Amino acid sequence: MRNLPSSEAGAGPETVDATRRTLLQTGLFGSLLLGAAGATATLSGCTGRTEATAAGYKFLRDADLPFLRALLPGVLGSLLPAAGMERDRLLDDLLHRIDLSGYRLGLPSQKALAQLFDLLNMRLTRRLMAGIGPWEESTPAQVQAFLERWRGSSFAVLNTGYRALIKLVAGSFYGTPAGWAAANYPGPPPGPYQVFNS
Amino acid sequence: MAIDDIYTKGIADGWKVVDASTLKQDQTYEADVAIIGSGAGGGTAAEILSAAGLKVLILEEGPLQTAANFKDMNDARAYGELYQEGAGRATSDGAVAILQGRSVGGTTTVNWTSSFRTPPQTLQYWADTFALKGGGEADMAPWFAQMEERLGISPWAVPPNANNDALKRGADKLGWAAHVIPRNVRGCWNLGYCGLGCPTNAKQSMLVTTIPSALKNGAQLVHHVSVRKLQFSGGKVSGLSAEALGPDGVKRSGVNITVKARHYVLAGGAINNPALLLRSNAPDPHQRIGKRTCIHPVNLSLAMMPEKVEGYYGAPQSVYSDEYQWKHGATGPAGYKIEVAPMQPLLGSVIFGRYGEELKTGMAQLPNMQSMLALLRDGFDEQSPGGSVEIDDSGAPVLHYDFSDYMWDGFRRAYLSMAELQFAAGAKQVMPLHLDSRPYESWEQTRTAIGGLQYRKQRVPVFTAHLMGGCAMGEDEKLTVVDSDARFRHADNLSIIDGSIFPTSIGANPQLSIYGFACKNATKLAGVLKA
Ligand SMILES: Cc1cc2nc3c(=O)[nH]c(=O)nc-3n(C[C@H](O)[C@H](O)[C@H](O)COP(=O)(O)OP(=O)(O)OC[C@H]3O[C@@H](n4cnc5c(N)ncnc54)[C@H](O)[C@@H]3O)c2cc1C
Ligand code: SF4
Repeated sequence: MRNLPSSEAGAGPETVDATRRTLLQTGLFGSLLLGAAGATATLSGCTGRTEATAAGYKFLRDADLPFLRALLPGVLGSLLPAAGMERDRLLDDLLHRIDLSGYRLGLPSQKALAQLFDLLNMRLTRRLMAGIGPWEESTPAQVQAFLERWRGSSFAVLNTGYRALIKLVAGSFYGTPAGWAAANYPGPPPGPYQVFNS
Repeated sequence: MAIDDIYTKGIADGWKVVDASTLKQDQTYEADVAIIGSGAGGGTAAEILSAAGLKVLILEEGPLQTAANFKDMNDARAYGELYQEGAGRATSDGAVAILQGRSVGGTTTVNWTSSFRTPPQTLQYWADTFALKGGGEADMAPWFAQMEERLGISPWAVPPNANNDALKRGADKLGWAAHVIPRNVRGCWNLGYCGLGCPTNAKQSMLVTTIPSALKNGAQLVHHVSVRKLQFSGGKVSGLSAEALGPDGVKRSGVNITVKARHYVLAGGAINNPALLLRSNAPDPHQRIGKRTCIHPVNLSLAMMPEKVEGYYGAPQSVYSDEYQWKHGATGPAGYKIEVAPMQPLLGSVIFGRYGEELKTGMAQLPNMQSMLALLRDGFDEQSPGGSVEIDDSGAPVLHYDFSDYMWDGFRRAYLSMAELQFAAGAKQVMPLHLDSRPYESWEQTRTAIGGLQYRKQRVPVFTAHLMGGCAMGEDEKLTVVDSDARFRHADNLSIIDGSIFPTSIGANPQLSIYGFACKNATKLAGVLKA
């Protein structure tokens, strides 16, 4: 659906169509995550991630970045340093780690993840599924409310999205030196580490 | 003191190792035996077949990484580079996270060294249900003994780390069975980083044992190469086609590789083996390829201990409890084996599965966290037929796996056992890992909470690190893909030697089962090919 134009622009006369498309896509998101193989055929041409990746990234596209920039403080909360260079550097590092995780996935999981990002990026599906305004304007508390809804939802597919998103972020963060410190993990045992690395 | 990475010197001495990402032109290789995959099955087969004087070619999709890479003991590097899909593999609906290796040595390069013979109950079940011949307890004993000797397998003689000791303490207190785990190590430093690649070569993975020995015997290893198709014609495999990967191990480089061999050994492990056979349109009259893929589904329970546990240090698994594994024999309500999980922060956070303040305060207590896991024994009951592997349009594997009430009941009982053990070991709080759980203060409170949890996909986070089956062995051709000697039924010159031939899960961590059957079947195959 990346190659459907103007997904953010659809209002007015397009609405009915857009809603239908949304439902279809929501359904597809469900069936995709509930059966990656089955949905792949249905989706071919629709999740080809035809747009180029964002500059400096291997998997993420420009459209994914505002969402992820909003998601990171939502998942990590006060684990992130206060505004400043340190925070910017960490956020940038985490985006690249998430990018690499997406890049290394097999095609079926890549498609599922791309579709999750797409749904969260398009205005209508974002409203419908995440119940949230534009990501650029959302607060960490709003993002957490969205995560909480997805965690609590009785739709397994939303739980899937919830788990996938927090795994991407938490798994990236706790692989960094900042994450090690936050986990009070002293790092590899210093004696042997020095022996191996001297 | 730099640790000898084994390969630098070996290659200087003339070992034939090719990094396919450096190839500029299409290549054709010829061999007596082409082995696809260099893990538990492929490594064992390579040593035995090359020692018999056969010209062996090993093809591995993942990179060659050694102690020289593992010395950073870095979890992010390891999960990204040594695991299938950067450790992001999952079942088709995302409900089960799959950990599986992908480098020279396969999953043995990153496994946790627990080494158990196939339980006799399992062997008997295979004989009864799948008409497996020559796989009885007495038949297999010498093969297990040979591999135990080869890989230095013996019960861990060092005291367990605190993470494992909690399991022992809890079990002793409750009067439950708990035993020391045998490990495949020689000169282990008791560091606890087995899952990230052993930095000391102590772990007797295929990377440091059978593969170097095969290379000494003149075998050739090509890594960064993904086998795409086997060509079937006239009741034989006539060749295979493969693609070289680029240096990042993800993208294809554009170089194509063709292999011609007298015999082919498929050792890509569960999930990938069936996918390769399906991509190749392998003959499959009863549609058995990919079926009965078993995974030892895992659920977990975290405990907050009053003292430091430091679950990231020390041999990751050294104590187990089979108290609830065989209570009803092989069949009956789902049995489970209880063990612990090492707790480096990355894996710890993924297991913990929370966000915001809950994530922050929970993970800050990592040093005091004790983690228990239960491996459910799937594949032994009609209500637990395992999952099935299919391929998507691009030929990529997709594993479908569903849980029946029978399995949910197993998860529920496993949560209870783990929590009971943890409180018996002195836990202050226990948190069964579930989307709706929180830390509970007492065993009674936890028991009530576990009873009230919803048992549904996603609400119960499920993991697997043991992929088995999909190419079941036995004599009943309606149920199996290979015969009792692991020969593919519909092609004379194809064998499958790895964990994909098991018709059920093992009921214990699978590596020694794979080594034992690989040793038996490769030895037989060597005899046939040399005759
Ligand atoms: C974190 C972790 C801990 C574990 N701990 C233990 C433990 O303590 N004890 C235990 O008994 N078991 C453990 N296991 C499981 C055990 O290591 C595996 O079950 C076992 O190694 C599987 O052996 P295999 O030969 O079937 O496949 P693998 O060892 O997985 O080897 C298959 C190899 O084939 C390659 N391959 C696949 N397809 C292709 C292709 N098309 N072309 C080229 N190459 C291909 C793969 O990249 C891989 O390297 C653990 C697993 C994990 C993930
Ligand atoms: S515990 Fe032993 S086998 Fe595991 S990584 Fe450390 S030295 Fe290697």
